[in-house]
Amino acid sequence: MKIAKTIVGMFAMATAATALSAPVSAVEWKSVTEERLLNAAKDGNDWLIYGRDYGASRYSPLDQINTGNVAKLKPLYTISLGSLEGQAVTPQVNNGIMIVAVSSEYIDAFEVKTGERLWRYEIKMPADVTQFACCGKLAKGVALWEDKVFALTLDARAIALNAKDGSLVWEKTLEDYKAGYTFTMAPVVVKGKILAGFAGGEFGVIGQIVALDSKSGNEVWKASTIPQPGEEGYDTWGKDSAKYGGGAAWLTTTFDPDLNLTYWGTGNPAPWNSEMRPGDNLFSNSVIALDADSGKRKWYFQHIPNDAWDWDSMNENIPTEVDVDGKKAKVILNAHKNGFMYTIDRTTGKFIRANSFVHTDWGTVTKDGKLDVKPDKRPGVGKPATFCPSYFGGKDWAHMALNPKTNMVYIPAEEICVKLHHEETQYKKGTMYLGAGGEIEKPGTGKFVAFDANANKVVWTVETPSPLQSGSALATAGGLAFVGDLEGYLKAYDQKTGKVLWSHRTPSGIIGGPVTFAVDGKQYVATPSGYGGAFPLWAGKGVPEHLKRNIVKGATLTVYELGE
Amino acid sequence: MFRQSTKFALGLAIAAGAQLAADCASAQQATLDRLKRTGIINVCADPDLLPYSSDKLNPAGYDMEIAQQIAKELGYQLGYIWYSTRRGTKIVRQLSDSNCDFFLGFPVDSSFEESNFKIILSKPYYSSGFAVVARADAPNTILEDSKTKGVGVQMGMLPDFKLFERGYERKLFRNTAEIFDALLHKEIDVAVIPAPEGGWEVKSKGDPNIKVLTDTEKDFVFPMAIGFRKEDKELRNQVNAIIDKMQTDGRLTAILDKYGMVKLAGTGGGVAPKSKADVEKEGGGDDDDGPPQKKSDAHDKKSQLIMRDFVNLGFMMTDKPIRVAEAVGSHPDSDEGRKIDADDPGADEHGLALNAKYRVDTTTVDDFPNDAKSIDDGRKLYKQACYKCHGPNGVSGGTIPDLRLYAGAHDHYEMFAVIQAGRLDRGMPAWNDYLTSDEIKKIVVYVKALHKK
Repeated sequence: MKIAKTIVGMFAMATAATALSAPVSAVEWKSVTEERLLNAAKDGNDWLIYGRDYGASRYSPLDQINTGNVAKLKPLYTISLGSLEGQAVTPQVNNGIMIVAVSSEYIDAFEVKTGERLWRYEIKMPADVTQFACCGKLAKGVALWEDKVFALTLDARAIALNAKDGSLVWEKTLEDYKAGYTFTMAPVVVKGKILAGFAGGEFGVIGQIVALDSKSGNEVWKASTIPQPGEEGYDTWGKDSAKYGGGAAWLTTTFDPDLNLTYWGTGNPAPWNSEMRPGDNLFSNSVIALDADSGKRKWYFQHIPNDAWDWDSMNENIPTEVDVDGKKAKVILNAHKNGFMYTIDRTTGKFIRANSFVHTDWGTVTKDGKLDVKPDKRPGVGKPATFCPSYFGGKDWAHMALNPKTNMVYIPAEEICVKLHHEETQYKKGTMYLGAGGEIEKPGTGKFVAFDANANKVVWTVETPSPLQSGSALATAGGLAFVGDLEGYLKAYDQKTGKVLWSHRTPSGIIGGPVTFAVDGKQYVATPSGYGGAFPLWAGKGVPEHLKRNIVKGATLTVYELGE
Repeated sequence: MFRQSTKFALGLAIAAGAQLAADCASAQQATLDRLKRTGIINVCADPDLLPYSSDKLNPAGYDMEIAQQIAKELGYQLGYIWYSTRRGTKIVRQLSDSNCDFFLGFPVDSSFEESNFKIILSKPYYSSGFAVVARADAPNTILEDSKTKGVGVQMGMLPDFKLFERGYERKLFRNTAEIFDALLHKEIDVAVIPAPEGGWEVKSKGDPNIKVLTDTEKDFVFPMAIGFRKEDKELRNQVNAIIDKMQTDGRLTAILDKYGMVKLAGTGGGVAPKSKADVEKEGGGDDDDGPPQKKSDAHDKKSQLIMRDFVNLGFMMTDKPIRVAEAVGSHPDSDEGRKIDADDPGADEHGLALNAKYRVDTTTVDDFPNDAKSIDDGRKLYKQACYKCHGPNGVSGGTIPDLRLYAGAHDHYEMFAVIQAGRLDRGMPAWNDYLTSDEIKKIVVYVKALHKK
């Protein structure tokens, strides 16, 4: 009894102390308007969109931290996010308030100057959800619009939170996660509509892209990436294979206000065994341009017909203008899993050119954008093939950054080869639909690549001990390119030379996106840390021993400032 | 500071234990003296496990109502020590550490007394076991008819093992509530659950959609007794007399009826057999200081199953939310988390090795296929279900258990059970809705084959 009283007393004291020290928050939520989103590229203070701007450039106009002083960058604080899941997130910042999707477990709001948590929303998740997802409870980020924060959950829900206090405004269950439909992407809001695509290509889903009304969560339009009977492209799926055709558009779209188009990269067709789906398998492994208002398809370009390698085309398509034959051309840039950087005309979807940015041994992309594959590099049933890049890609989903002033692209890249063969499989709801086997036979390595999109060639390459599989890049007007690695280092490279000018080791591996922003005129850099995701699960012998030995799970957020 | 005081307390407990063993007679006297001095006799019980017990005392549960009658007959007030029975041996420890004086609901079992030498049992005060339950409109209510379709059972309990051994397809659930839910949603037609819980569910909710059958498998029925510290024979004998009295005057039956006790066929209407011969046959009679009676091998085998059931019954029934994984990964004798077996490379990572030691004989390797085709089927199934976390060909990338490393340290059934019911707290999903028993067996033999490579 006495003990109980003491404990209650201590608890009361602790509560009082907390109340006293709680910050009187100076930061206020600033409405995220369409105008602010359209001008996000120009305003360095915030990071309002997952890819920083609608074009996903991951380029900041801030230059307070630059090649001359980055050596003085030091941690302001590191705080725990309370999770053992991989942190694939890109934190987002609005007027000094940072929103972090902590895996698919929490949505947090911090005051960035102090690291004080303003609110935390816990996402209630069914216990069996990871059974139906490829790579743990991943989440990449949120969408901000007016006074709301939108998130997509692993169990195929969309939720809307009040940005001021984290309270739930609405939630919608959009698909059956037990059939493999999951969300691992960050949504993006275009003209008041939330745009999202489901993951699940390894579970035999039908790729779906939805636009939701931000006020209610009601569906405004929906587009399927895999044609069903009667639809264009259905005849490219032999053996009735469109039924579980995959083609998930599982990464955040880019939006091109100029043409009112959204560019979606679609994933692998299912199963991996290509003999079970004779034909080109439209519109898997393609970029499809959808009208931002109606969701109608304007054009498509398929990088990989009848994919046999799991070379998804999910990667971001960054709209820009580059030099083509001495003239400026409106293009999208896509660093593909197959190891080639594609330049595509964004007005028509016509292929312009491609060039490799990592070691590729399978063949080449022809002048008209077709694949010229060496006979022994296409795996089949009873026909193993060893090829590079592997199914992790020359570039996986780790996002590149584009400096729009120089058209230099900074690519987190990988050097991994795999020995793969195909085999018969059956669709079984809730289990993976692969029909492939084999393994990565030796540890992979990584590369940070600077690619000149005007000249269509690699300018410099820095090799890294582990694949840069899912840590995204960040480029700044200060001449810096940042990227985090699986060892946990956040590094700042000189954009011109590739020289490492600064690095800092975070507590775990980095698989998310570093960001930069400014509050009250002062520039900060921040990165999530927290090892996980696909690589340690899927790579097997491809995982370098030093990672197995040294890197453990645990989610943190580190915010950096310039020291004296 | 906290750590130091814990150590100190542990030291005391060891000293106290040595003292107890050294001087049983005075210990016995000590208990009786204490009861007389304080006027309170303490019962250990689970705080949230109706129809057995509830700390809300509204209702108290039949074991508590019987305990109240026993205390009244003895002339003491009843004190309640609420303690989760999630792990059965914790209750044994509560008793042996004198934190309480008796516990109701031990299955009568010679191996129990052998392995818990600090405990003695009363005569049986009732008999019960596992009953067949079915949806009222189910076309069949015979277990045999659901042999291939699947019978609902609670993972790790006696019917789970028994039906497994008999080649039944089972649907595993974590608790009785889930089983009822599955029955009502027509996921299963029949299930086997603890009879008291079935009776209570029907009685308390009056659900017309569920029926509890009185006819059950012969080896699903067993007598239940009250446990005391070994040295408290005098107290036990007093309680035996009270059990006799309560059987004669009908109080026991009245209490059990109040909770809807199902009268399982062949159990004497839910009340224990009265004849002295029967009591001796079941153990727990008025024996004195001699060693536990030697039973026939066949009886011992049954006893072991009951014992295992008790242990599992302890930790499967009360934890909310139920953590199946913990149940599977824990050793019944280990309260303080998992011991690490240095010889087993998987043990520290998975905490599974210890469990294998007590469940290793629940089934034999012979129950699993061993041909090349099955192993290859297992390889394909592995890709569908396991690959995405455990890696290609069982090669882990370091963040998830490497199956090649721990495969050899565990029996087949162990792995089977983990795949089927999952280890949810550690991220391992339950696959029982997506893979059949045969498919899981093939995955097990594939993983075992990997280990040899």
